[in-house]
This record gives sequence, structure tokens and C-alpha cells, in this order.
Amino acid sequence: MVTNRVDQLFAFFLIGLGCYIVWTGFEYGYKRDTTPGPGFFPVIVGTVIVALSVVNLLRSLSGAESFEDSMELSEILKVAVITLGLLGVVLLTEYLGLTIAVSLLMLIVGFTANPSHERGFLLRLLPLCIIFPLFLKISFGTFLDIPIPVGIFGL
Amino acid sequence: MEIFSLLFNGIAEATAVTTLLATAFGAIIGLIIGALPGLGPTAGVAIMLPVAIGFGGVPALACLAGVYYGAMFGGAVTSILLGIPGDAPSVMTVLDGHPMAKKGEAGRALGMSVFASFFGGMIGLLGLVVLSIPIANAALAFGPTEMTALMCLALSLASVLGGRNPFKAFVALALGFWLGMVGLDPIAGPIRFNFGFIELFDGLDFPVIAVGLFGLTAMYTSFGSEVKKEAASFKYSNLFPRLKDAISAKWVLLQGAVIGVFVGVLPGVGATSATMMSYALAKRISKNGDQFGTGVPEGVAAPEAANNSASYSSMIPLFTLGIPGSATTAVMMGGLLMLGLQPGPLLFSNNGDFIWTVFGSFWIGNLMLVFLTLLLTPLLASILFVSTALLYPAVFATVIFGVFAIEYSMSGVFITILAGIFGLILQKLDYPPVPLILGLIIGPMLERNIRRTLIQSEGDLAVFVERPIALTLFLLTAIVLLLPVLKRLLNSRSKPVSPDPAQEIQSKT
Amino acid sequence: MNCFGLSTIRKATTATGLAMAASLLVATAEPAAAEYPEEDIQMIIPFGVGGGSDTLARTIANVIAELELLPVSIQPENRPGGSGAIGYTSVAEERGNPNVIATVSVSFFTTPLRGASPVSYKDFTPLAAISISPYIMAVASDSPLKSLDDVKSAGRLTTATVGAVSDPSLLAALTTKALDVKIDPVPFDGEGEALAAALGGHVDFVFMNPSEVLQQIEAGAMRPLAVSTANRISVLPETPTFKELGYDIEHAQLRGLVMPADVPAEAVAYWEGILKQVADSDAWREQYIERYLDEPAFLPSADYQKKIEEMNSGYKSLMEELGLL
Repeated sequence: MVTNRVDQLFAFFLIGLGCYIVWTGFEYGYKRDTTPGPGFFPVIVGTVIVALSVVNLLRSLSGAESFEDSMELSEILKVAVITLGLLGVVLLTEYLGLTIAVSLLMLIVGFTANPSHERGFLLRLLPLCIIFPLFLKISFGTFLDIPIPVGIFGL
Repeated sequence: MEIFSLLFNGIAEATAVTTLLATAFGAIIGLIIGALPGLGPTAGVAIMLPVAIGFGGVPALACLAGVYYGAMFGGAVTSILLGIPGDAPSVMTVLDGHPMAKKGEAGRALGMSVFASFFGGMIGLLGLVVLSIPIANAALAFGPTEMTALMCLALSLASVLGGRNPFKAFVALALGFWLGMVGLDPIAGPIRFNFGFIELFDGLDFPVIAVGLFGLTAMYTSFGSEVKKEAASFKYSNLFPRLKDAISAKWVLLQGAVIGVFVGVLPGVGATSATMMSYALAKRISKNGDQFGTGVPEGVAAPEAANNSASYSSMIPLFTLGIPGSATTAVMMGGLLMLGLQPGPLLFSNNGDFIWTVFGSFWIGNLMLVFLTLLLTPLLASILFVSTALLYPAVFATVIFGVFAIEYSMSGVFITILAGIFGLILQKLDYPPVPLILGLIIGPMLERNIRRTLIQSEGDLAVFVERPIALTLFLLTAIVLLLPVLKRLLNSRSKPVSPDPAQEIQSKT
Repeated sequence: MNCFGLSTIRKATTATGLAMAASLLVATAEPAAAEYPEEDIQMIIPFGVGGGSDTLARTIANVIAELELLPVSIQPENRPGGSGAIGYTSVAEERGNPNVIATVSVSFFTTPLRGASPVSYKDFTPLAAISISPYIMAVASDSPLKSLDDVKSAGRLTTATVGAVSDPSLLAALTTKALDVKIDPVPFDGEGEALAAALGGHVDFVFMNPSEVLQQIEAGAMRPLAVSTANRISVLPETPTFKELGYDIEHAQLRGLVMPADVPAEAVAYWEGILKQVADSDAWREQYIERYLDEPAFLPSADYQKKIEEMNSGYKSLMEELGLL
């Protein structure tokens, strides 16, 4: 049931997005002299999104389309934790540098996938989280000559 | 034939030790860069340009080209094993390659991609060597009008990729079109839908979106299901490539390679569109077309044959006419200039020996890559035996570094994260991701070429039917679109009681 | 390293053209007082690796290193994104810092004009321009257009440009005015596509740099009608200029370097000296001019400043006509 509700909300969101695209399209200029302007395609595409999303919304409300809930709460939590970790990398790179930020992310992902304190696992995960980012730093930064952001620790 | 004696001379010349080493070096680097999520042939060739130029002469160009076609081989690896497109032209490989890997057939899928890449490469090379001049001239006949018609045909072919609910498929396609509009509009000049971010002026990088939409989403969903799966269910025999697959997919391979040659040669179209057309056509003509997307070897064969033959044929306009038709060949043209060569119609007559030796190195490089990748296949496929808790941290780390390297900025990483979440929502709500990706690639080309055509014709729509090539392509489009409808009509007349189940599935999609 | 010859900035300020000779003469007499440059020079390239701007910047850096003109080294760094806005902004933010340089490209003007960048040409100090990239008006060899007179009497023509705001579209606008002929620019996504459109007869003519079109002309696939520079160019001595033919069209891209605003005058003069030596060197001629078929030139800071202002107003009026401003 939850998924059905999400589906309807998403269709509703798409209707809003479509309206925005159409609106902006008209602002960009639907036509220019004899040819389609920069807003021509946005108007068409926005209209298609609105029209079809209305269909989808109606189908879902009428029960023509329905979903069984396919995600468990634990799964959603895992996705949320990892997404926060990823966003953390984007925010922390400026201070910690990409290498250390990625190292932290690896820890988060590792423990999210396998929340255990088992010795054998820790002995493999922890070295990996240190060595692998350094390996990436060297391959991308040194070998491919890409300026990898460096943080306050000089790494 | 004279051409073949020139070519054999070229191959013989290309066995010089320095050229061989440069070819191998380029091919291996290309393989790795292609396999890294996000980084593709353009980035690879650009990154290796300064190094390769240092080799001078033939080895320099052999190395650069090696990076290019090596990347086409390598892109499939991450697509198949992890569901993360290694680069733009391997997005379609994800569709069947990753499901095969999930079924435990990673080696078989990788093997198919190697055979397909090799076969596509051979056909592409044949086109490059034998037919380059007529093909290049034919490509010139494709102006904006013809391109518009071709894009329409591509979209009509791809209408089979929509999935279960056509309404949602079209919404996804429209969303892809819209995302393709973000950034500078090259026709009229304004910046569209950038929400005030300077990072979006140049538009959304295709790999940035594709890695999020396919790669991150695949990893997110597998957190629920795959962790529980026992690796022991994998059979060792499935770690190895099977030549039988390639033989039974021969027609799919051939059509993919031929599409690759013709689409790859068109300026501004590129290998990614070729893979989409090839995959869509293969789904239509193959006997088990309705199983495409669930993990069938033909679904790997079609795009991989197309992208490799396109990588060679996109060099045709560069070498015969001096026209760089894609971002990658534009960088290669920069390489030619740095080597003191002037690309143009006179390149062959002025530097014939040079060019034939470079072509020779392509054949050698293509062979090298086959042996290399076939040897690596079991090793790569066994990556899936590594437990998720150790594999995924490393994969996430590589994705971040790879996406950062595309634009040298964290904003790309941020967009990938958004695309990943968005992809998860789409998947859970049954919006297919393929039409979105299709819209993102084809949309800008369609929009720009329609507008170019109408600028040329001063708004007169008649040009679309006045030009013979465009008219032919539009007629083909109409046939492709109407065929399923006609089939259904005929079926319902002749067999009103129980329609063929296979037909039923096809007409539904 | 010839640090001595380079340390005497003040002398070099007096006469740019003679900068090198002067500094060499006094180098031994006057020991280094105000050492410049002390730090490595950061060269920001606001575009990705492998493109035209990248090649230009790295070639300048190479030539300077090869000729050992600087006591320090130049560190090229790509900062792509935002049509140049990200890279140029990062340079402009270093206001007063004479250890940052960048090359000029079309986006240097057009991105700020769109209001898409927080900085504009006023936030930079031009150092010098060291070559000119001319534009050739060319048609496919089977085109009925044989001369500018044919163009003038054509009524309506199309031309392939790269993007809506670019040098070729600016030139198309100038041609429309000067020849009183309707020209519709059809923007393509790259030089290759534009060239293909011209060769395939999908547009009537193109404006292109010699490096893009000269090979086609030599092979007989295309025919030049006129060049956009003040004087005829060395690679096409037979082709007249627009001015010779009586049309007031002159526009070419200058290849030069800029620094952030408010850098010391000494630094500007110092770099004028360095760039003069680059422009005069064989290495520059071999590695850039001959390879990319540019015309050799040297414009000192003040002249280059004037040109930059002229070009900016040129793009501005083009963008006003296109309704982008």
C-alpha cells in the first residue's frame, strides 16, 4: 500500500515538474522568427510529462496499477545511511580531502552491508579502507594526473 | 587487391617492437580506463595524449587508438560484473550483462562481450580499410534533415525497450529529453534549466547520470536481496567464456557490427546511439527477443559488437576527410596535429605509409585485446565471489574517484548521487530507466537537428519529405511503428481464438 | 638557469620591445633586488584536457620551459566546467596575485556577457597576445559561389557555426551588414560537424581557422573566398582580405595570456618581455604557429587590452541581436 501512495505522490510531483517545464519553456521563447525557439521542445516535453502523469495518477487511484510493497524498512535504512555517507563525502572533501573522505565512506558501506564486529571481517575491512583509497589516489592523482582534492591533512 | 597488400605491409610494419609495445600499452590503459566507472574513451585519449605524443610518430597514434578501442573492450567489464556502466557506450551492455552476472554467468557474459567486441572490431576495421572513402562520402550526405529522420528511426526501433507500462515508459523518455536540455542551448544560445548553478552550464554529463541511474541504483537494490545469496550457487564452468554463444549469436553480431559501422561514421552521432539501435533491433529480430533484459548472451552481443565497430568507423572521417566526428576523434585529431601531421583529404596521399602502419597496429591491437581479456575473464568474473561487505566499499570508492575525474569536480559526484536515488525511486515505481537514458542521448540530437533543419528551410516542413534519404528513413520509421499494429490486426483476423503467446508479449511492449 | 637576466624587472618595464636586451645588459650590473617570480606560476586552463585551449596553454608553458625563460616553473592545471566560468572565476579571485596566468578564449567574453559568470574581462589584466588565428570564408568546391560578388547577390545564404555565440556567427553577422545579404547561421556542435555540413552542401559557406580548412582547400575540396584579417595570411597568399575587397570586416581570435586584475605593473612588464621572447622564438613557430597555421603577431599589454575591449563589444552587440542580453 505504501508503494501505491508513493507512486501517486511521484506522479503528482511529475505533474508539477511538467508544468514548471512548460512554464519555463514559454519564458525561453516558443518560437523565434520562423523556427522553433529554445522553449519549443521544453513545452512539448513538459506537456507530455503532465498528460501521461495524469494518466498514471488516475490509473493508480482507480486501482488499474498497483504494487506490492517490495522494500523492507531495514533496506530503506541501509540506502539512507549509504546516501548520507555519499553526501558526506561531497561535503567533507573540502576539509578532509577526497582520499580520507572516501576512506570513511568505505567504512560506512562496509558496516552497513555487514554489521558485525567479527575479527576476521574487521581484519579485512579496516586495511582495505586505508589501502584502497590510497591506491585510488595514486592511480588517479599520480598516474592519470587528475587533481584530486587535498584536505587539511595534506592528503 | 592493392588495399590488402598495403594493409599487410602496414601490419608487418606495425610489428616493430616500439609500435607493438605502444599498442599494448595503449590497449591495456584503455582497458583499465574503460573499466573505471564513468571514465570512457574520450577521457582516456585526452589523459593519455601527452604521454603518447612523447612516443612520437606511429607508436604515438597506435597508443592513442589503443586507448580508444581498449576502452570499448573495458567498458563492458564493470557493466557486466557490477551493473555500473564503465563508460557511455557500454550502458546497453548492463541490461543483459548484469542479469547474467547475477545468475552466476559472469564469465559467460564477459566472454560474449569479448567475442562481440572482437567481431565488431574486425567488421569496423574492414570498413575502415576497404570502404572508408565511399562510407565517408555517404556520411557527408547526412545533413540535419537526414539526422532528424535517423533519430526518429532510432526512437521507433527503441520503442520495444519500454517495459511493462507504456505510459511510464514515455514519461521516462520525456524526462530523459528534459535532462538532455539542461545547460547551454547551442542553437539559440540561452542557458536552460540550470537552476542558477554554473556547474550545469555545459549540461549534464551522460556518464555522470548513467553511473548513478544504473550503477548506484543496482547497488542500492542489491543491499536487500543479494547479500543473502550464497556465492556457492555459482558454477565454475560459468566463469569461462563460451565460443558456442558467439556462434549462435552470429546474426545479432553481424547486424550490430554493421549498424556500428554506419552510425559510428556519422559526425556527431557516436557509438552510444549505435549500441541503442543495435540492441533494439536485435530485440526485434532475435528469436528470444522477449527475453532480452533478463540476461541473454545476445543482449550483450548486440551493443558490444556495435560499439567496437563504431569506434573504428568513427575514425573514417578523421583519416579520410580530416573531420573529427566525435569528442574522442577530436582529441585524436589534436594528437595528429601535435605529431606535425595535417589531417585532411590529403593525409593518405601525403602520409600513406604512416597511416597504413597505424591501421596495421589496429588489427594487432584488436587481437591483443582478445587474448588479454579472455585470459582475464575468469579472474574478473571471480570478483563476484568477494563478499558484498568488502566489494561494495571498494566499488563505491572507485565510483566516486571515477565520477570526480570526469569533470574534476565534486558537483558531478553530487549529481550521480541524486541520479542514484532517483533511479531507485523509478525502479521501485516501475518506470523503466532505459527510455530515460535513450532520451538523454537521442533527445538533444533530435531537438538540435530539427531546429537546424528548420533554420535552413526557414520553417518549411516540406524538406523532411523532399530529400530522398530522409524520406526513406521516415518511411522505415513508419513501417517499424506500424508493423506490430498490422501484425496484431492480421492475427486477430486469422486466429481470433488464441493468439500466439510470443506475439502477445511483443505487441504488448 | 639564467636567473640573472630575469630578475631585473624594473628595467624591463621601460621598453617592452627591448626588454630582453635591456635586462641582459643590466643583469650583471644590478643584482636581484625585487625577485619576481619567486613562486611557481600557476596556469589555469578553464577547459578539459585535449581541447584547443588546453593545447595552446600547454604549448606556451612548454616553449617557456624549453627556452628556460623563467627561473621558476609553470604548473598547468585544468579547471573545466561552466563554459569556462569556473576556471576564469578562480583566476579572477586571485586579484593582485602575479603568480596566476590563464589563456583567453571566446568563452572568456561570452560566458560573462550571458550573466553566467560572476567575473568579466574587467577582472583581468591582459599581458600580451602572441599570435592571431584568422578566419577563412570558404565554400565547397562545387558551390556556385565563386567570389564575394556572388555572395552579395545571393539573396539568402546559410552558414555553419559552432554554437550560437562564436566567432563564425559574429563574422556572419558582420558579413550580413557589410554585404547586405541575409545570412542564417546554423549552429552545430563542433568544428568537425560544421565542416562536414559544408562539405556535404548542407550549408552555403563556413568561416573556419586555417588549421581546420586549409587541408580541404589544398585537396581541392573547398575554395577560399576571403580572409578576415587586416592583411593577407601567409598560408593563403592568393586569397584577398575583406578589406581589400571593400568590405569593412576584420575579426580574428588573438592568442594571449591574462593575469588577475590589480597585479603590479612590474609583473605585467616582465611577462610582456617573456611573451615577446616566446613570440619571436623558433620553438613557438615550430610548435604552434606552423602546426596550427596561425599568423605570428605580438601585441603588448596596452594594445591587447584595447583589442579585448573591442572584441567584448563585438560579442555584446551580436548577443543583443540574438536576443540573449
